[in-house]
Amino acid sequence: MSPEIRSRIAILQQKAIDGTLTLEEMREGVQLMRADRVAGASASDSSRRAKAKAVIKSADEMLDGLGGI
Amino acid sequence: MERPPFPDVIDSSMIAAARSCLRKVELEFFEHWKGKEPNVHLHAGASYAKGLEVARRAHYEQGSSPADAVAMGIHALLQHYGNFQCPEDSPKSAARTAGALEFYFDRYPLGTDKATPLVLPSGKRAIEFGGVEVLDMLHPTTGNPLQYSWRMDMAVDLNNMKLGEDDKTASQLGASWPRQWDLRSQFTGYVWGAARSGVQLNGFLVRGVSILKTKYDTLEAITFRPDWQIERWYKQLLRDIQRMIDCWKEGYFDYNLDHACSEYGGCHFRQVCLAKDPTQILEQLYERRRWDPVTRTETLL
Repeated sequence: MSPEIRSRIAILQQKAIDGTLTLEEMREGVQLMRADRVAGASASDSSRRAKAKAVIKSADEMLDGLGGI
Repeated sequence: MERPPFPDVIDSSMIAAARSCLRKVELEFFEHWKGKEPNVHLHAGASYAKGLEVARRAHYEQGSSPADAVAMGIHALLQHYGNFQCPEDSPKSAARTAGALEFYFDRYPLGTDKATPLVLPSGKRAIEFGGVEVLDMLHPTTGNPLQYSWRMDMAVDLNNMKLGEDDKTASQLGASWPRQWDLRSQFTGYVWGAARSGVQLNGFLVRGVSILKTKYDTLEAITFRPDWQIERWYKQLLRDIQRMIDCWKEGYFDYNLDHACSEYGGCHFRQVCLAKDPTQILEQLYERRRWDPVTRTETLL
């Protein structure tokens, strides 16, 4: 969850406690939470793919590594 | 302290505690000792449950659109969470718990979720569906029948099955998560209670959402309760209550002093049992709050 969303939810939470939160504000809040979660999930997938690319050697490299055996 | 009265109403939490450690039952349900420090898991779980209930009632009972109903649910969750200070190392902050509810309704959307709350004979939807049933066992002092209180998150229709439904929040949903419900007494008792009130259920649908620092996940499990299991549960329930009555009459509740002391992060009375004289620890770290399973309210004693 991004810091922006966390601080937005903190504002909504305070308004909910004070009894001043409107349905419209909360509906927008839910949309932001959803967008943030989806963006976070795809960023995490991309990061995993990038990391995987960095550590997997090509077949040629691995065969080179065996060349001296 | 005088010997506390034997409770009039039994519920699944009390029975679960009795099976784990009778001394725990004495402290928590007879003497009503509860930790002064709030528990983040219980608080976040209760806030999440409140949000689910409000969203479901808004959609199924008041006809709100799914988007409005979810917004109302998260509003109720944040209000319930209030100014509770979540520990730094816990992922169950207000924001993360609200995020879990948003995730839940993304995965099980109101309007298209195949599990829909049953319409009860009264015309109401079976949301927060519960009751209090008379048991075939008498109270040791009043002589009135003891009662059993039960309450489930929903009773639903799913693919032509009638099931109870329970929502769990968890830190992790592993491969063994679905298996833990197959013999769970809590659900057998709810199926028994529902049948007593005229609603026959085939079993239970359990939905878990894991709340981690960086992501959410969900799993569903369906667990069935044939009649013979319900009959066995009832017989065992009466035996367990009889054991509590025997301890209460004797004035001595047996200690487990084994796995129950350390399971699930440790029993919350561990420090009490580690002390030779528990009185001082109880008065320092605990306070007496009586939970009423019928009104679902807690009173500071």
